[in-house]
Amino acid sequence: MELLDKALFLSFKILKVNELIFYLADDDLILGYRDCEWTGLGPFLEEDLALSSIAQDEIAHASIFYEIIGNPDDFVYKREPKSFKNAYILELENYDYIFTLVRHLFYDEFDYIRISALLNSNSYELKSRAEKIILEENYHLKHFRVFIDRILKKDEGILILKETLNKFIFDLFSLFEIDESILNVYNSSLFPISYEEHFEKFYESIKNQFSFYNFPSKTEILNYVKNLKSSRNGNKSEEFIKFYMTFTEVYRIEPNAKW
Amino acid sequence: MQNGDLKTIILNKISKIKDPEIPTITILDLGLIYDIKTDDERVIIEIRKTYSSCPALELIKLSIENDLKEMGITNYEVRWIYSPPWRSSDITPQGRKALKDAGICPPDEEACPYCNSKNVVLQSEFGPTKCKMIYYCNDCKNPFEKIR
Repeated sequence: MELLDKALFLSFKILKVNELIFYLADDDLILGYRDCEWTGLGPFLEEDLALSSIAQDEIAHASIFYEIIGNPDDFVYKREPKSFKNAYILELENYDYIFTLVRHLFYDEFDYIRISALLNSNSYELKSRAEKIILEENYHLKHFRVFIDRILKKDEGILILKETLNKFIFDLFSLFEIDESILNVYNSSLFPISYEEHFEKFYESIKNQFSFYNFPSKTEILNYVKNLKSSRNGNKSEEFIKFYMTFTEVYRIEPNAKW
Repeated sequence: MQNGDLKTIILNKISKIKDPEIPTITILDLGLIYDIKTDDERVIIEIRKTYSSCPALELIKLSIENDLKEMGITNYEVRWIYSPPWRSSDITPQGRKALKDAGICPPDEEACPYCNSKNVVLQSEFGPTKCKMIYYCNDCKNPFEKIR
């Protein structure tokens, strides 16, 4: 690890590097695993390949963040469900493909802003990884933007997108659920962006993408997410627990096995 | 032995390692070897990832470690670096030729590796491995892969 980072991370207790890493990586991990469940079942071959490939990226991004503070396997397989900091929307079952696409686009827009902020981090470990990740996230964003734009070309497409947004609109914004540990990582030299700026940029890009949709106001959404005590606060849904049991299943059979 | 010599010897050895997924191209021609640092005690090899999730990477790292052990070097570290990120333009001219020989279109071209036709169309930005896209040749009717 770089010397500067060692010094920075020593002030750990104040800046909570672990909390920042979990905030960044747990989302990638959980969504990546959910995406994997589509492998072999995608709507057509090219999309199946694309989503599988994106899933692989998301899990790799989680892994290269975890490796800054320890062994990635330990963080994936040896933690209690409630310690995962992922957003509620990302742990939900895949439901249908439209939901998968909408959720992914929301997440990629959200994550892109976080990763862009890390490009200005004073931690070499975070900044260098962000430089790598952003190149790959560009492909993801482009993929989902183009796909959604194509669906929007038909009236029927607009209808089904509207249906999904109506059903999940507040849950989609659960990306912005916070607890104290998350709020503390914003606005630091490691992660130089404020929560408000993150939200503002996100809201504008999402509104722009789904311009046909009448979004709740910023105040309404912020009120909702700031009072939310869901997955990021450790209150895991049944869907998460079931999912957790699945992705740790092989590990739990023989915890000391070498793979 | 001078450190400079040792560097060259190490580079000569590890640059022969092939990509496990495209066995016509070496990791040197792919542009993965970023730096070799030596001092009296320790050898540090810095390598880059093509795509962060490429499953061949661990195998490449292991091959380098095996080469070092074979040379009798015991104090070493093979380290991933992320900045500056690898780009497909880091592939050497020789590497581009090796890709073509394997039926894969290099990153800076848009031509069918089988019949050289430029009448080709992008089918999917995501291919069978992380680093490749799928194209189709309208002339010889072959699907082919191109490095991203």
